[in-house]
Amino acid sequence: MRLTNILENIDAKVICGDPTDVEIKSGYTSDLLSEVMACGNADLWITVQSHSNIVAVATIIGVKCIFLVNGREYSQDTINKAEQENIVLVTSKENAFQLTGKIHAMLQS
Amino acid sequence: MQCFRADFHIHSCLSPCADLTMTPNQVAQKLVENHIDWAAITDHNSTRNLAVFEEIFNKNGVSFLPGIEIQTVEDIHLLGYFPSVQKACELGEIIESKLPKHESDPEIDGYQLLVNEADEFTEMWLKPLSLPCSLTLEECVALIEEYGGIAVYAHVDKAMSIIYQLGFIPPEPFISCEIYMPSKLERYAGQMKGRTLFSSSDAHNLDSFSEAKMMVKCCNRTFDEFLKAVMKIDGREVMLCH
Repeated sequence: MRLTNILENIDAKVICGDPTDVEIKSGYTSDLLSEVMACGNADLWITVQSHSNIVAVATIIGVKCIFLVNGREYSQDTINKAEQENIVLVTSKENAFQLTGKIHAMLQS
Repeated sequence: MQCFRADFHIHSCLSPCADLTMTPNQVAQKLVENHIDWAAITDHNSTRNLAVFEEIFNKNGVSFLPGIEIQTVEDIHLLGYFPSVQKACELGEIIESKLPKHESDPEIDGYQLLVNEADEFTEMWLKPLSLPCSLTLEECVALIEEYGGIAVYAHVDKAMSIIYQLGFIPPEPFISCEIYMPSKLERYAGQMKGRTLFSSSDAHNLDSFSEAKMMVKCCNRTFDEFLKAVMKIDGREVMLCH
């Protein structure tokens, strides 16, 4: 599924990166970065962590897009690093449960 | 120069997860039994028992290092050490003001007790000390430094640590690291390269004390000398005992 299709159907805001042509097949939801690193790989990651380490972890497991939930905001450092690594950063006011459910349903349909 | 046996991570009865027996005279007695020369109290998100512990430790010949264990918004445990109880308490008030506003429930969260020099409980403290404050890791490190202190990553080899929460130790801030089990040092050595290493009991009850896990090589037990040892100035250093 295209990331742009997902973004059309949820309440979210793209902070940096170009979502066009980003293909999403899988996702992962967790706030423990050590666990995310061990999860194998995922195209999309939903978390409350906004520290710049999320960009490094995303590159390790092949995440193309990070969703920061609960209305939290990325630091400028995180945004700069994501731009360098070509990772799409998105924020949403929804919580991780709601967003995970919606995106999971879209990927299943 | 001398080598001082140190334990810089100890919880008092103010920490919700600590035993009620973690009172000044009881803890001081354990430190003396274990030949500790220099010790810190590092309660979760609070500094309100520091003054009484300083008094009783000093009476027992144990030098006191005022500390705190802050829980950052990322759920990272971060130790802070300060030049005086007063400075520590000024920072402690700010951290407490950044905690969630509701009161803790002692039956669920654990008892948080202020204590006096006779080991008597004087007040039940109801700030939710077991929760993260609203400040980021970088904000907490900056705040500790603003109050003349230094920050140390707590127990990098355990849960609620920088590595557990954020996957790895970021290059900045370049602060010291505490390792709970020095035997696991090799596993994290690459990430901690060049950083000063601490190791302490992280005692939450009286049975958790042991002989020193770290030593501070310096001229005397002052904060200034402690800082110089952390920064490895003029032959001073912090060493692990293993």
